[in-house]
Amino acid sequence: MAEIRDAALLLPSDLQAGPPEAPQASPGRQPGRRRTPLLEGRFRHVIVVLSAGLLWHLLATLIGDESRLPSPLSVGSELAPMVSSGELTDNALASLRRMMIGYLAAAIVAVPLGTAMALSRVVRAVVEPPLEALRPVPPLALLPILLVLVGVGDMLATVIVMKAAFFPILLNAYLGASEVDRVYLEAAKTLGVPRSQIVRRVIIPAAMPQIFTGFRLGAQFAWMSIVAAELIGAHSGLGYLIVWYKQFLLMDRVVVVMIVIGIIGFVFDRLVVRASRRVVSWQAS
Amino acid sequence: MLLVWQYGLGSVLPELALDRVVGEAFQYVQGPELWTSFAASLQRIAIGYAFAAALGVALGLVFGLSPKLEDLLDPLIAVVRPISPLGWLPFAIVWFGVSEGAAVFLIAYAAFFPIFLNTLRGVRNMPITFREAAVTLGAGPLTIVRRVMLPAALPSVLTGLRLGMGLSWSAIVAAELAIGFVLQAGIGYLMLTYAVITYDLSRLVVLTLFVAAVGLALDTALRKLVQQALPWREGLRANG
Repeated sequence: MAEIRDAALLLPSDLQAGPPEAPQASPGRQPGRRRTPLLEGRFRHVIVVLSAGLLWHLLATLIGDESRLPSPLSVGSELAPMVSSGELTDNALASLRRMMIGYLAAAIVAVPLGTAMALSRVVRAVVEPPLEALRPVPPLALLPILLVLVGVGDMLATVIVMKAAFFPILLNAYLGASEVDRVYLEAAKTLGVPRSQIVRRVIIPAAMPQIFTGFRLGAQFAWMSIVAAELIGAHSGLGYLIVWYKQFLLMDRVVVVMIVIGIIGFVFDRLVVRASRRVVSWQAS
Repeated sequence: MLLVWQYGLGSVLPELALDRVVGEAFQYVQGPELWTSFAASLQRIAIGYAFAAALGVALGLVFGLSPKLEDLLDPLIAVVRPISPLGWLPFAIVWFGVSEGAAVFLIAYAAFFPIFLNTLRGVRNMPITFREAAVTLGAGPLTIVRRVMLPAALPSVLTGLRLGMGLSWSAIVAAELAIGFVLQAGIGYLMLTYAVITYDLSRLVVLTLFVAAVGLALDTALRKLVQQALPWREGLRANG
């Protein structure tokens, strides 16, 4: 058991990383300063993105080969036709649909199972061996077997998403439920909360912050692996679109798809964080 | 559980029955095919991972030292990070050709982010008192980086290195699945041949389990290494 605990302990802080939740202090507001320097003002991110774009453009003109490094201008001009032809939106929707189905299925199974594992020795003893055998399998390593079993298509990508999202959610639910402060449990007993309600009213709420960490990690892994899965094992979706455009060396379109993938991944992450703030509003973080 | 596998799954899909798979496994680990492929994959990992580790730790330290830099580049990082390594495959191919170079690039990319972000976190989470104490005691900036920041960030850096290894292992398998037919070597390539040419399910199960076992072994090895490198963390773990 030490193994599973340890992994879960390491996961959250390790991978959530990314941006610190709140910008530390608002810079450049000290009294006595007349003008806010460009890189400290409110538009600093706009400026950075624009200069990164400029750098990219310079590099692209320097290389002068659209199929090696397309310029941001040609990438930008591809966006409208890709949207209006429906190519981009249809495939993005296909990816999102698989993502949602796989992710929700993983969450629906993993949260109760993780909680049950924390509460019952019997459940843990039964469930743990097969899970521990499956856990180290990278989601994409399932692809060849799935190719043979279910073939190219929705099913394959959805199963891979499920595998990717399942374990972070399970481990964090398990960890959250097994580390509920004893005081809460005893207080609930003292106050006469019936046994049947302790799980719902005490344990699950107490585990919520940790469960959301699992949701967040799960979403990241799921989104990453679906794109990769579609690259090989689907006839639609953003991953497939990348391969498709690559075949015709439409590299500017490849970049558009990559950026869309990045933005959707980012938005997903923000949504989970926002939901967690709402649900576990008592947790100041 | 094993009984369920043998008689439950085995009756639905005879190729997956326990005895078939175990028999296949015993036979297979004796042949050279598995090991030469494994060696090819490991070699790619070694190169890509080395790049990622060097770059990740160095950039992590720089960004960690400068919160402003991190804040400025934050939007760029946030959008690039969710792109899975395989999303870069087209560019890896255009830049390096369908070759070792492309595979190495994908591995380096996969391992970079966990290493970079954990180094960054490690430096950032260092209690400010460490730094102030060092300054008070008269340490110069270089000494502070080397003697204070690096050791303080080390647990986090090592965690990043461990996670990076796990990701690069799964990335190499995926990359070899995608361009394996050209590379003609590697674990992913082997899986691909069994999946789309010979439909050999029992062998695929063996290979999948092998991939998992290697991932687990790499992880455990690095974990042990971390424990050796950071004996002072032992107490922390016991408490946690």
